[in-house]
Amino acid sequence: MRVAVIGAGVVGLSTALCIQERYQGLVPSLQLEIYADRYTPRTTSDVAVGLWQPYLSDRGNPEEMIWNKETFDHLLGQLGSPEAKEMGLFLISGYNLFKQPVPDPSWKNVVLGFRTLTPEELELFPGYSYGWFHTALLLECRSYLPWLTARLMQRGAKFFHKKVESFQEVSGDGVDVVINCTGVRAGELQPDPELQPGRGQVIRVLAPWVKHFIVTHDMESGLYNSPYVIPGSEFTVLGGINQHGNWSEENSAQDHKTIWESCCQLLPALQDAEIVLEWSGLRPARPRVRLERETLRHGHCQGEVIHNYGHGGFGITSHWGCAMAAAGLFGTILQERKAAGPLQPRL
Amino acid sequence: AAAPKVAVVGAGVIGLSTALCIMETWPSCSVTVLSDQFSPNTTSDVAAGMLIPHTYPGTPIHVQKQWFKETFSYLFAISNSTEASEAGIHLISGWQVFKNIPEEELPFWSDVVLGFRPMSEAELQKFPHHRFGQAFTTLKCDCPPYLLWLEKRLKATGTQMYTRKVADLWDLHSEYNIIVNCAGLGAHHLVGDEQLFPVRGQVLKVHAPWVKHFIRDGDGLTYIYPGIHRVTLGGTREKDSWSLSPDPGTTKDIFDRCCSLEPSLQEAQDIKVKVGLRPSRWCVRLEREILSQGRVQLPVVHNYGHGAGGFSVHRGTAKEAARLVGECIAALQGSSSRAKL
Repeated sequence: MRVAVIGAGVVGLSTALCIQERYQGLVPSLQLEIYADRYTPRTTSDVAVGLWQPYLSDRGNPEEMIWNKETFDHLLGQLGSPEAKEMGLFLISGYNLFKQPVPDPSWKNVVLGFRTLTPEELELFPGYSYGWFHTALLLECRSYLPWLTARLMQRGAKFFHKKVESFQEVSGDGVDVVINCTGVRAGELQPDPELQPGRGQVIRVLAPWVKHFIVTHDMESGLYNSPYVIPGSEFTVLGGINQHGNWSEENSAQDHKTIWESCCQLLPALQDAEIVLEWSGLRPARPRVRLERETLRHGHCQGEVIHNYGHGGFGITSHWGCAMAAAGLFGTILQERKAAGPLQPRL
Repeated sequence: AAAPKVAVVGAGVIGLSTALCIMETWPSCSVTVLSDQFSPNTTSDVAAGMLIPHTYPGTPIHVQKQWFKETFSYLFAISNSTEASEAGIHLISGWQVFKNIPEEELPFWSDVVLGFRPMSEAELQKFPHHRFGQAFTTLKCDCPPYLLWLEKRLKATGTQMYTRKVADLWDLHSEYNIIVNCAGLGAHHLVGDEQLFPVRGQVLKVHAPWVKHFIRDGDGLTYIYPGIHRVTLGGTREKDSWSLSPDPGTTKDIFDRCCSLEPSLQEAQDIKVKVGLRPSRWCVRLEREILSQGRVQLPVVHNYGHGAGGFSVHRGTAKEAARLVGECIAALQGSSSRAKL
């Protein structure tokens, strides 16, 4: 039984692994195939620093909060394992800063040690009068994606470097189920006006004295359009750009200036930091994640597609919960096949 | 009277910070730092430089708290400035965990560090062998950067620094008017202080940059302190051991204890082993003394014996030492006025 996953970012690879782990034992003929034109370190996931943090308020999509929590709990469970370092997973604490008091986020009890900032702590951040401190997780995709890839290969998954132009191209080739994890470019396979790029730009620097994340919020400029400083295992990432509808993957000098000046204002010692790399990525923004089945008909054939895309700026944050949900949909397909019996026409 | 000539003996964190405080408080002085060792070969260079106070049985708590507060404020301001990375000062959060509930749940310094609170049940799950814990944010002074930064500031004020082994404070009486004794463990021989004793500490300095939090066992023996480039893993507290040679059995023991607190340390690379002898004493010796031979007098200010808590109180004791130097200066000027009468 062949399953084609289109997309090799964090969503594609984790969904593939989840399906493989859950069903390979039950379906010995299960063959996972991953198709993508971009692999790590060139995926959108690689641009993100990897901090687990949902949006401040849920958008009226309660299942997204469940997927976020499932992801956090799963990763927390992996922390003590010998795999953690190879996965690029570690605990990190830090600050969320606001210019006025805000309600606590719905995920305050998912993270560890959530509390509001004391007046002494706020002295560190002139211009911000309110904030949170908590301990979360960081999952670096430059380690995590290779780790997922290695696990998949160990169990026989195959990888193809290819730009898939249509679902038919893959499902017409004898593939039983297609998993669509194409992120921001999902519209090229099937038009989706709700999916828009949320362009981000980040500067990667050497600043190993920074041990906390600092994420600022400005209700007027909007989500991710306010400076943030997030330390990874080797580099610290400076960001704070989110341009809805902008498809450019080129670095912008104006955005560089915005990020650099606002982050140095936040942490004056950053002026000494050496810039290592600067790049842009397109968050696959959508009012809600598209995580659902679709039966596509092409001539007298039909194929099952499971969509799993549109995770905006919380792809890493939600990836495992979504992978499990997608795997659940796959399981439903398996059950239907089984119920239909062995005379089901080959797709 | 001519500008007083002050010699500071010792160039660890205490000597350098005391010299700087003297220059800041009494700019008319000339200050010279004399030491047989400078960074990176001082006891301070081995220490992690964490701002978590050690309690001195012989010093009133309110005094220790004042010293800690002054030190914390001073470093907090630097950490928030453009000089932070050069000075090696950074904020760090983490946990102090206890296998048994401590007698004192609120240490005297809990309201000086930031965000101090008991750990939640969820946080304690990460430490299955421990039943209670405290979470807070404090500061760390990385050495050598901090000592080098102090040296740079001293040079900018015109302070001279010389490598010189001082065998007897009296040897300095013809060149200097006031001696400030920041010799650390060296004071044991230099001034014959039998109350001063080494507490040997072995540490590992490892490459594990994904560790962003400090973790300290409340027993003070096992700790993980991430610095700018390396994580310090410790440690030992061996009273009266003068050995500066690393012990391989101890290395393994420290590594195992720290991995038990933080399993990902198994992947740590490039392990370097260091030994420091904490200059321990029942209380910090922070006082004036007048040495005399015949009719010649030599005022001395002692500032040593900080044991395990040097970094935590260094600025506070430096300021007090500078104040005592001021008393010496006043006494010298008083006696020289009397001499003129």
